[in-house]
Amino acid sequence: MNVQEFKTLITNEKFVKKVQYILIGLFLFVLALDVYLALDGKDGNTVSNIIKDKTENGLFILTYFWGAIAANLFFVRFNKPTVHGIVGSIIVIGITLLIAIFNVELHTTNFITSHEYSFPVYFLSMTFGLVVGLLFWRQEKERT
Amino acid sequence: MLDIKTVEYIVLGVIGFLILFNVYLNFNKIKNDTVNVILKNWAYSKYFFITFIWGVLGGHFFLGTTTPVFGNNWWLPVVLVIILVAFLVIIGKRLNKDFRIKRRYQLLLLIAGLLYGHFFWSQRHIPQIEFPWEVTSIL
Repeated sequence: MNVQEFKTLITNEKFVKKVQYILIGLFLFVLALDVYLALDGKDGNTVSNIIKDKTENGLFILTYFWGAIAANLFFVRFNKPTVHGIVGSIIVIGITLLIAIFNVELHTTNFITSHEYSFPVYFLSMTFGLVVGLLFWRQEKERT
Repeated sequence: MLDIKTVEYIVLGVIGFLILFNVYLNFNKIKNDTVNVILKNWAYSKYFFITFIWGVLGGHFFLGTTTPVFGNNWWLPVVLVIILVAFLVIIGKRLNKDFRIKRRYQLLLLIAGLLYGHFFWSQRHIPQIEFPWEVTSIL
């Protein structure tokens, strides 16, 4: 490793550190906001409540992304990817658009209620997202 | 006091910022600096509590039983999750710098979190729950 390479390595590490601080900062901001909202004496305005209400109003997609992101972050692959990284992202987003266009949430909910299943709809979309993510959207084991 | 609309905009703003920031990080000169890579590296080393939290939030936001285990004590699951996460953080802190968690334990953490969020920290419970083991109603 020559001096130039070493210098770029150090600047890269510094940059990654900055990004890490931004992420921690955002997380703490959301956490502090939610604690404030929970204690401000007004009902139904915490981040949890809003995400809950939003999903009940038709964001099947959010739960799908929960699964896909979980696969991306927590389940690395040891072998070669099934598809190229960018193709994988396009597939994941393409399925999102299909869910939106064909109103999959409404159909699934209707199916479940008309068959009188007592089964959480969002469990299906979360698992579906996880499966799609595991197939097309995983990260490599180690990239440091 | 913040009303619901304002909080919605803040939540959407944070998500939007993360997406744009990640696109920028993906296309800038520096490699392996995207949010995905950083979070993956954290989750696979000392900070494996992230996987557990992801599961807890998934269960808490999107699932949830109508009769959670702790009944009407809404604060109990919150306190318990803080204790559990603190415990995981302390374990992580004590580990070796080169520690890497196995993939199957990630699955275990995710499922454990999901079950916790669903059964213990539910948002979808009915307002008043009467449990057979709650003695207050007898007294």
